[in-house]
Amino acid sequence: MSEQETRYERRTFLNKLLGGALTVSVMGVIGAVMAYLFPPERRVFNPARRRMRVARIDEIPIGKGKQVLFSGEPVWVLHLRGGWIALSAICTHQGCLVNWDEKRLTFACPCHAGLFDANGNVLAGPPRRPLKRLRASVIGDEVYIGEGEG
Amino acid sequence: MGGVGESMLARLLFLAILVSALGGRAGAAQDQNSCLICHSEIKVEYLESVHTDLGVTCIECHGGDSTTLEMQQAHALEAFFRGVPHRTEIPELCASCHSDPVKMKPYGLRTDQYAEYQTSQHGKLLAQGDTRVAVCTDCHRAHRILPAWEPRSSTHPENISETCAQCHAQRDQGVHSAALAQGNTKAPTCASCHGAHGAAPPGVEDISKVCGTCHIAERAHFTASPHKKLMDEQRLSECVSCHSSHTIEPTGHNLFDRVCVNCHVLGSHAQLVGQKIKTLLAAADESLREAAQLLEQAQQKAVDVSSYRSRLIEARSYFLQALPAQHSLDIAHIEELARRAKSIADDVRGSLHSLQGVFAIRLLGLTLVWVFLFLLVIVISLVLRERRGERL
Amino acid sequence: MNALARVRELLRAELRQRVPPHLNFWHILGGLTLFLLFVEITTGILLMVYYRPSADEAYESIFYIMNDVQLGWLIHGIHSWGAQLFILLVLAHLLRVYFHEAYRERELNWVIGVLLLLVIGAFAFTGALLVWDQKAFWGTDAVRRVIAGVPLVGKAILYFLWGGTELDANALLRFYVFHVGLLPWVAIGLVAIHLYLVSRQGLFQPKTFRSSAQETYADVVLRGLIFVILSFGIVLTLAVIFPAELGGRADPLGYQSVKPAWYFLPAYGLVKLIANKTAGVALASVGVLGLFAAPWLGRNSWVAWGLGMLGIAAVALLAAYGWRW
Repeated sequence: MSEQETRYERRTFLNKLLGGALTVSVMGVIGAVMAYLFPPERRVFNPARRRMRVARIDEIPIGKGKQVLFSGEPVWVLHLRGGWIALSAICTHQGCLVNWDEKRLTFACPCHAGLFDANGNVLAGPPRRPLKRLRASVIGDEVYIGEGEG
Repeated sequence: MGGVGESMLARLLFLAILVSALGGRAGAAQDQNSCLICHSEIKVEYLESVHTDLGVTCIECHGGDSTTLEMQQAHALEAFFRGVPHRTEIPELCASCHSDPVKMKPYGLRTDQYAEYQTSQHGKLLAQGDTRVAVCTDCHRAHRILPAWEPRSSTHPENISETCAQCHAQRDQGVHSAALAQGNTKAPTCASCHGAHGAAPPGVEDISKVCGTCHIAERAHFTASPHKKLMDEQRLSECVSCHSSHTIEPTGHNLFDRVCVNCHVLGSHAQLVGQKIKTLLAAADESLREAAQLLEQAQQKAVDVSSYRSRLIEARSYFLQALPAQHSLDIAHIEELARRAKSIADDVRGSLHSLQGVFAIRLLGLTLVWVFLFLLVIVISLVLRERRGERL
Repeated sequence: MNALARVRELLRAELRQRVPPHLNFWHILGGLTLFLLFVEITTGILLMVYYRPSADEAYESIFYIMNDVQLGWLIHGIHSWGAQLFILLVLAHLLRVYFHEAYRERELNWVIGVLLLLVIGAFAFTGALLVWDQKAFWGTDAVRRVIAGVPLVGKAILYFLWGGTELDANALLRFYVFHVGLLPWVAIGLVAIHLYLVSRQGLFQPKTFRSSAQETYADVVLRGLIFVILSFGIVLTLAVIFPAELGGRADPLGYQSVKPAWYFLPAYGLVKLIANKTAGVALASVGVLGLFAAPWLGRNSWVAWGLGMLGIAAVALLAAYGWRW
């Protein structure tokens, strides 16, 4: 083969190689974009980190409560005579978890005997601040908790 | 004018004078309080006190005549002038109102202070004629008497330590005074343990009851421990032996190193039990701390850490329960709580570390992409060289 | 098919053109900037698929993108770091053009270029708020406070840009609309004119030039491709090694003193330096006007270089002041 022809072949080969490589890159990018566009199976977007369904209204009688995990924080949701209330279960003294006593209608902390009433206010013991209050709302026949605008 | 009219007018005039004399007694009393005009150095203090607003004037305690500026008249014995009351008379003087339920009812104040005082060391010594003890005015002040809830009151929780320190050298520098200094009025003052009026120093058998009113869990655990009986038998102070009574330092793990050897021989079974408890708790504490730190770092990278946070709260809860449980010396129970705390914290640590693994995978992917990019660049360079070769 | 063939022929013809002999490495900057604009638009559109512009959900949607969406972290990272590189390249391109005095007889193109710079500044400013975290919120609020202090026009500007005098959900939505709905079109339009002018007017040829081998635009494009690939690699690397950070959720009640992004530091430094905020804003505006007027101010080479050095020094000093104090 003449030098001209080898050069021609080499050039065509290199051009094809370049074209192929570029095509591969483009396909890679498109592949990544496709993966991105397919919504994840694990979790459809819901502001569950901001709002969470607790229970149906009739599942929790008056005077009783349910403890749920909301954004990693244990929260007590109580059904009181005046409505629903959501309070953080973290004692404002040292951070132990408080328990709701249905008979005495108080929250008791097992660590240093802190006592809170059904609204989270301190009744006795070393805590100085009331329990953190979260927003509880009733939508339809279900109770939700969430921070900020309901 | 007729006779009826004149007498009517006179009666009206008399009534008016009477009303104006009696009406608004409190304010009128200050207007008529001539004592303050001569004794102007007392005036500022007195006017700040709670007695001012309630119409308790100078003559209530000192006697005399507060309507005249003539010293002889003002200080006349006929006006029951008492002058500065003698120290031994002061408690009774104050009690003349403050032990009277009828007088104190409108203000909602207790009336047992004097009775309590008489049971106290201060009261007993005073009854024997010793005047070098505290009487009412030493703590409550004579003129600027403020209610205990007012921040500048000498009996406000934050100021009690200073008030007692007028005579007693003991000045609390420990955790309780630090808490008070931060404004935590729930923290104990001298009066919380020693009583306010019944100021008897607690005896050996009283200490755990005093500390235990707030430290309920600790007291309950201690009472169940072998320490209680032995220390009571030996008349050793229950809480104070290890924690001291006035300068209570924040409890650290090294407390076990310092205080156990006061009674126990180094290397004895008892001392080793203490060391075991210390090791368990220190390990759990360390794990919790590291896990919390990792959690913060992960959160900065916007990783979803909510499940880890809840587990750490749970772990911390077990650890906090283990702290009062130490006093029971029940190794099995303490170990269970401490190990639970530690294992959860370690688990969280492990999970957070494995998030680093995700990072490693991404780095691997990046490296592969770079390899490909590098090859691509080489190909382009070759093409360029080829083209340049042509032209040349 | 005919049309396609015609386009191919046109492209081939362009590529076969010989380049001016003075063409060197620095001329790649404009093309790189264009590439990054393309990257930003693409990743931006991808982000729009999952982002929610309401104050209630914005932060959470970013969180979602970074944690749950496949490669969401990567797209977010590329968009974020790409923007940084984009601004860097634009500034480098501007400096290159300035110090090559390539604005001569191309004043309109220069003006359009500076306009593009402002547009990109607006992109950066509006885009940063969209994550709705503490840093973004209070950084934007700091600017709001400065503008609010400007007499007469301050309030009007706020009403237009923020949709009110407060930084709230309205402002977020408005910023979003500017960022994805208005500015892209303005940018594309300006870029189109910019490129057209370059192709019509040709590259500026300085009197002195080195003689080098003649090559065609095809070679330039290929060489440029190498740099495009490298810069993409850089953005990718930054996105993987330094994932986009997300601070705490924006809390209108929790004030935080925030330093602005590096590209706004000179303006920040200037406003901080001068006690009267309005005077500071006015001076900054004068600076920008000066930039627009560069082709006319820099008629003389020496003056151009002198002013350029002065300008860079001033900007650097102000940025340093803004950063340290």
